Amino acid sequence: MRLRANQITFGYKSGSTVLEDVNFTVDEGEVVGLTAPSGYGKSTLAKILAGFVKPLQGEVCLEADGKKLERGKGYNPVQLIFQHPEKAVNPKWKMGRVLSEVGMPPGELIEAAGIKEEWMSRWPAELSGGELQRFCVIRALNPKTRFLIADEMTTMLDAITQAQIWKLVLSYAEEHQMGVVVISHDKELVKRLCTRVVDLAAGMP
Amino acid sequence: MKKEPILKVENLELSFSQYTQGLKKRELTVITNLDLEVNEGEILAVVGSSGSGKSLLAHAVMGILPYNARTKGKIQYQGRELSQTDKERLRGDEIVLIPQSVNYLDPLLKVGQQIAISLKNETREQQEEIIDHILGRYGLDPSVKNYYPFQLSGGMARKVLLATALTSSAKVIIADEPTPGLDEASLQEVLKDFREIADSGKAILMITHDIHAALEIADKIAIFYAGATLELANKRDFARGGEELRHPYTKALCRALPGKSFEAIKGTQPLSSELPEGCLFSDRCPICTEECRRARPQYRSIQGGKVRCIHAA
Repeated sequence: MRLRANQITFGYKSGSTVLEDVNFTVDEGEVVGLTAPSGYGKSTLAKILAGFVKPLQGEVCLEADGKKLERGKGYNPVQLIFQHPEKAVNPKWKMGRVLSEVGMPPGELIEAAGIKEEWMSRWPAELSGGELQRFCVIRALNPKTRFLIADEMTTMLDAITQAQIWKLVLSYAEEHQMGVVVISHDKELVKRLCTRVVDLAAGMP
Repeated sequence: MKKEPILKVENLELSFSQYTQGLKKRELTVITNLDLEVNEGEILAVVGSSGSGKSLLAHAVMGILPYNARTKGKIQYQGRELSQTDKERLRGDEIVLIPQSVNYLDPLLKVGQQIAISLKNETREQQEEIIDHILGRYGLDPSVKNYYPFQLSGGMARKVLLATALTSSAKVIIADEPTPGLDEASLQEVLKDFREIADSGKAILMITHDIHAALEIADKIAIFYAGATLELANKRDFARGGEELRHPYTKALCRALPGKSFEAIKGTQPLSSELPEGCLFSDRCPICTEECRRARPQYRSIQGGKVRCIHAA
């Protein structure tokens, strides 16, 4: 399976163009880095890939064996993880409910993420950013997720937690042939994780 | 004679009183053993995971903690212990904070006026000149000074915060996460500025989790974990695989860097409501013994640094 963005153009009413004729593809099982200075539209492209934002021109599609797949309603096979996990969970739900919104992940996965049983009965405000991000990550590691877009997923975390979370995501991606897009300012991290790196700034005016 | 550090924090303890259920009140200790000192002309980087008490330290020094916070221990400035009135008098003039969140900008004040706050002794024309100069240095157009904060992008707002503090004549600058959201070029510019300011005789406390940035400019690095200082390391200790580091946590942190071996250790930092009785790192430590679990280790000097671990030699 392949996630393809075809000649995406995006801008705001004020006339500023953020993305112009951007082509981008990720194959299943592939880990691709996406880098550019701030303001070049990395996060916008991430939202377009996940279908949260509609581009002005161009289209995003999933392909298998060269044929386009219909993207119907229901579970989104392209999942997005953000930089700030505290903004990505419902503050009025306890963690157990947050995690099981689309079905409880398997026990091995919860354990591999280092999530403790007693955290399930806590409120999001009672956990640190690193702990919350673990929930956000395994919430997205559903068998129906074919592509994962990590938008500065571990920027706010310390190096150990960052390594823990990425190890988990990479081994899951390999096992389930899930494609991963890594958006980060951290060159070393991108170099370490990705097989291919796309620089949005290259080829832009 | 040894020079007296300009800012010294000794055995700081910080707790919040909270209501749990109904009228039941509890005391939640979030910082247990925080020690650090910074000299004039020096950059001390404070690194540690989120929730390790880095920002609270900054707020404790500035005296801007919320009303339900209580502190124990000493905070000394130029050899004198600081009271709340001292902090209020000094902050903004001699000790300045570069806050973590860009929301700290005054939403009703134009950027230029905001920077001018820290330029008290200059004339109007001098102020204008300095503002134009500092904006230009970070690649911002001079017209930015007429903008309100809501018109700025995250990176621009960050630069304005930096400009406000860097133009002041403070002796101590506390920078709380000054780097996220900055692109590579501006980051290098900011780090260079920090170094220059420190070299001109000021002291900088740089709170960050970006170890790479810290290693680039800092003289010493303090490592925080679960509300305590575990180690005071020198820059060279991080070289290669970090064998010279003193504390097992710092070693693990160094090995986990993507540029090093990217190894992770198991577990997470303990929550402040369930801190262990012994060493704070004991439940994740590969060399933990019975003794480690019994009592908190003392902070002691070793090989040109400091460490809170009984096994370090």
